[in-house]
Amino acid sequence: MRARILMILLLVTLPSAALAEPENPVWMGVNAAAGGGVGNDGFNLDFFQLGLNAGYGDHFKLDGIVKSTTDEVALQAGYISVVDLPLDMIIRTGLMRSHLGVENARYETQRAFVDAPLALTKFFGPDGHAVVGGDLMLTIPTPWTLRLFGALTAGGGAGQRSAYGTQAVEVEGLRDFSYQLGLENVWEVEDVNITLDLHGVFAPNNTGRTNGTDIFGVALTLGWRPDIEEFGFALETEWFVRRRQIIADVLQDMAGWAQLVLGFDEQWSLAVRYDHTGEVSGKPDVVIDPLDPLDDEARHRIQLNVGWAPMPFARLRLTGSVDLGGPHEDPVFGGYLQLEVGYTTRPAEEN
Amino acid sequence: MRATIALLMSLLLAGCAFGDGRGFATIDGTLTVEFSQDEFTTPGGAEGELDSLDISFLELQLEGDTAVEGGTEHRNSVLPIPGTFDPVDRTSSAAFGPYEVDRGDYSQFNAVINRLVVGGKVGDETFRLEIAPEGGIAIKAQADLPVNRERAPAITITARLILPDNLMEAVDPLGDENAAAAQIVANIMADGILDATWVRKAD
Repeated sequence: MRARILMILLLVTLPSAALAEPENPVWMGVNAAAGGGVGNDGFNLDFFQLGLNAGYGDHFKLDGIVKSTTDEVALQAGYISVVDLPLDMIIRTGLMRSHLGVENARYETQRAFVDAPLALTKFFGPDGHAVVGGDLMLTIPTPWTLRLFGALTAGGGAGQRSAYGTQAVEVEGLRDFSYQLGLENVWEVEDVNITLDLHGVFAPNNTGRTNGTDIFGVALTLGWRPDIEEFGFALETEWFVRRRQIIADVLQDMAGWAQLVLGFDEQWSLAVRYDHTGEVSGKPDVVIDPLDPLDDEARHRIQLNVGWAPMPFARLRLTGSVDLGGPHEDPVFGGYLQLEVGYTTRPAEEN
Repeated sequence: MRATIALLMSLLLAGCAFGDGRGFATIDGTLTVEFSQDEFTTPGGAEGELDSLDISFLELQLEGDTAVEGGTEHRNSVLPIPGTFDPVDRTSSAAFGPYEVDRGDYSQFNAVINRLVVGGKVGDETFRLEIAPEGGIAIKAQADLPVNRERAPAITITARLILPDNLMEAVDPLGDENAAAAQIVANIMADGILDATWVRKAD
């Protein structure tokens, strides 16, 4: 099979658009970063991802993504899916991004911005709510599209920052697992696509023998783009409320983001995002966040992103940001220039 | 099907963060303060007698290093002690807790006195010394009290603080008040004894 470059990057700024699932793709992102809140200054290999896809008959699929940075190589996803079942049911097991809102399910090349929203990294982990376990999604017959999902996963891991985190905990019972429930509504009216997602995560945490963490989320998106070669937009917002039991208290905070993505043609896009993580509240005299003792005040971040995809397999993004509050005493300015390139072994015309 | 849903809902509700969280152990207990030598002799040879010894505690403390991800962390869990004690001519005790305590490999047990008022007389003269050193007076004892998920979480502590018979040794309560207070603190730190035992049981 002749290797061909796949157009995988152009649709990604419009979340309502279906992303092609390339066979065995390779993605790479190289950053030039400067300022605060953008990781390491200077040139960085942000990610080098190798995707693996395989199918076994009509019902079984295997997906995997290995992500490499200059510091480590890690499995970002690796799961088996059972598909093409009644009620459009999909059953997955392995390491995967959970069906949690909008942005969590997207990988680096599928995001409008170079970095993930603060809400995901603070509440779940640097790679979002990536969990080991199993989940199930099914479609309820309604005039619109209504999907229900549930998950049973490990209480610990890199994506369970608000639960057990990466600390090893011996499983003693059902309380040591993390549970997830949610529903997703999709309305498609001509060229307008609207989604409303409601979900909850119920997990243990490691501040006590029986303490738990609940995270409730709501996500709303509105997308319109009748033609990929012409103007379109996507308006998205997602908010979480987190409640964590600690010794003699319950801490509560919220976090979320809102973004507007404008696609002008096949090459140019413009996006703006507002990120927020809220103040941690609890009993007035003792509010010490065991996870983020230095970041328990309200934080605001605004980012502006210009994307240019001169070729089907490459995208250049320039991002500027200003970050206020949280761990910063003064406003922090930062910026990225990122080059992404993609490659697949499957010819483009087959996708 | 209904049973499955009910089970799932009960599991979810059981895991919900409704009320205040708990620790890795719940500790309650009793603290007793003992003192048996109320007569003393001043450095000048005068005979004196204590008639009151009011003691209030900042807290009891459990201290130790605990293994955490990437190293160890020093833990200091506190058990507030309400009320005041007056052990002159009697045994004075009070119950404390229950308190929720964080996990830790606790290796030291401290009783921290934050205020001590000594009253009595030397000859025909009465005196009253109020002692409240910054940081309190800590009397320490060794402990071996791991608190974690693997151990039974309900702990009852029986603690005794035995004030030394030489509490007033080298103290002139009618002289310089600061010097007298410092000497009493030194006597307690040198010869006060903290004795603690505990029992565990399942929650």
